[in-house]
Amino acid sequence: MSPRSSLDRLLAAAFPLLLGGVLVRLVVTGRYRDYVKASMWPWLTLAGFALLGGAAWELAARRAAAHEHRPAVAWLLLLPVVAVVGVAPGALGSAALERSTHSRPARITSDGHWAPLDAARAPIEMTIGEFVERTYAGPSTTGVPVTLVGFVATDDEDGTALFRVVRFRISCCAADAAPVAVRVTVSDPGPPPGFPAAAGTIDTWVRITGTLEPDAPAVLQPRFHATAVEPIAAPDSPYESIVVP
Amino acid sequence: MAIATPVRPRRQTGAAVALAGVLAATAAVGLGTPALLRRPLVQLWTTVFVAVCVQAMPFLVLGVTVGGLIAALVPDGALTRVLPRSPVLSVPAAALAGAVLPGCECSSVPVAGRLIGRGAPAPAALAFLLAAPAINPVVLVATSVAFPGQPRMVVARFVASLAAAVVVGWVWTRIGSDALVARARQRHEHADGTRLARFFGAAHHDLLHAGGFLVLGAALAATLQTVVPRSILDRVAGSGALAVLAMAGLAVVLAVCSEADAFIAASLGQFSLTARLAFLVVGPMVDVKLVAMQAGTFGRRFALRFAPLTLVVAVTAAAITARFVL
Repeated sequence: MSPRSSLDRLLAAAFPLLLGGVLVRLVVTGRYRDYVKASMWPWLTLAGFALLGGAAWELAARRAAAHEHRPAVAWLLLLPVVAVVGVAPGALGSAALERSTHSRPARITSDGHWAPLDAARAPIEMTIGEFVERTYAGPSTTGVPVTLVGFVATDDEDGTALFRVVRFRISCCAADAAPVAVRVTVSDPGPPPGFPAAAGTIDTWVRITGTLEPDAPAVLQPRFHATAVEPIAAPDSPYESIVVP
Repeated sequence: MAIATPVRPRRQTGAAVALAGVLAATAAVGLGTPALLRRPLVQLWTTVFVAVCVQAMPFLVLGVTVGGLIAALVPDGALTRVLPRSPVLSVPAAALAGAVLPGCECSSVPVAGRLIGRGAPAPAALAFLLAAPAINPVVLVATSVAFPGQPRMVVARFVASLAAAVVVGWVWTRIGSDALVARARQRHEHADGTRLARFFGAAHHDLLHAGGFLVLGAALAATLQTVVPRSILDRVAGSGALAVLAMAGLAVVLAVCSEADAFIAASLGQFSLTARLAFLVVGPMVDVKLVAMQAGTFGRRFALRFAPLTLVVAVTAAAITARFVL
């Protein structure tokens, strides 16, 4: 075992230090929710501090273990650090819609039926995922006013809807995201004042209130008859969980 | 590594300058993000890339920690004493032992590397490597949640994954040579230094190796996800055997965590259950991120033989299991 210079120690510590630092920073700022599901924070924190602990050991160890040779590929570990700090990519938005297929409603409750909604408490807040799955599974949403939150995207079908309100659902991270969406329509004549026009407001976050359009077929993107559309700040967690409570 | 590779001072200085340069450039870019980096496609690529890296990091840290513990605590020859002598028994025993590592594939690669480093026979360690991310309880529970009311899918996944891992292990006793895993074997540490030093030494080494290749795989997966439109999939969904191969191929290029893949399979309802089972069996065993990590841990020549063999066995196991279980 050979003694290590302080430069040796600093370089060996740099990799776990930067990785651990980025993980802890993502958790502290809450930005990790743009990439992975919100419940990941304890594991990210644990991994971050474990890496910082490893870095501390490398800084302190005065004698070289047998690992001093740093493979060239290790430099790639700086790439996520550069990406998070330098590029700081946001959560998936409408630009990601083109490359994804729609999530088929795959989850229904164990007995195959959704519990009926309590119309007395309407409008009922629910995730777009639950709304789409309820609609797909049967008539449980018919006639009940609900409130949904999502971002605006252009209508990709026959153009008879004003725009879509979309949310990505993830089970682990943004790499497995699949969109759920409703196609927003309004009653004649025309949209009420304050309604966002689809063009120019793409990716704005909105809260919409309304009902399933009567006689809408069970499709992946149900038509949603909106009575109110309210622009809101982006929610803390941009994604819905694929596991419906 | 028996002897520490001496690092010349000049190279260390060069590395320090390079590191400082990268960090300075990152800070500069972060302050005034250039238009190129704000393009939707670049942002999309980066989001997916960062997502895969961040998601994998806790599992990588778990893997290098367990690997470090193995390097520090397992005495010489202990693994060969514990495992049955004959590969006919040791391979399935090691594959079943995979059920206790509650992680995804990012954990199992460094652990399998350290097992070989401590003298475990390669076929058994490789059966463990393949089985662990597919048959551990966390993944099986995720599968049952993703396929409610279809417990056969969980059974089929367990059976097909275990069978594929065992068959690959047995085949490796015939066609694999120890030279192919020499890189992991050489890592056999001398019992010098304290246990703590050996633990940190091994964990640090594995983090740099497996982690570097993990990042490479994440970049590859992000590229494929960004440039290949998924609508291509819909065109082959209805066509029997082709659909099975398409789903196996999708598992390879998507490279999602084995704890998430069941939800993706469940949402691809246009494919048959057989095709989706192939996706669930292939994903934790062969994907771009995993093959990159295997190449880094065991060597490129190893990965060139092991990955195609595993792919063929996994697809076959899924097809046969689907006939009898689904």
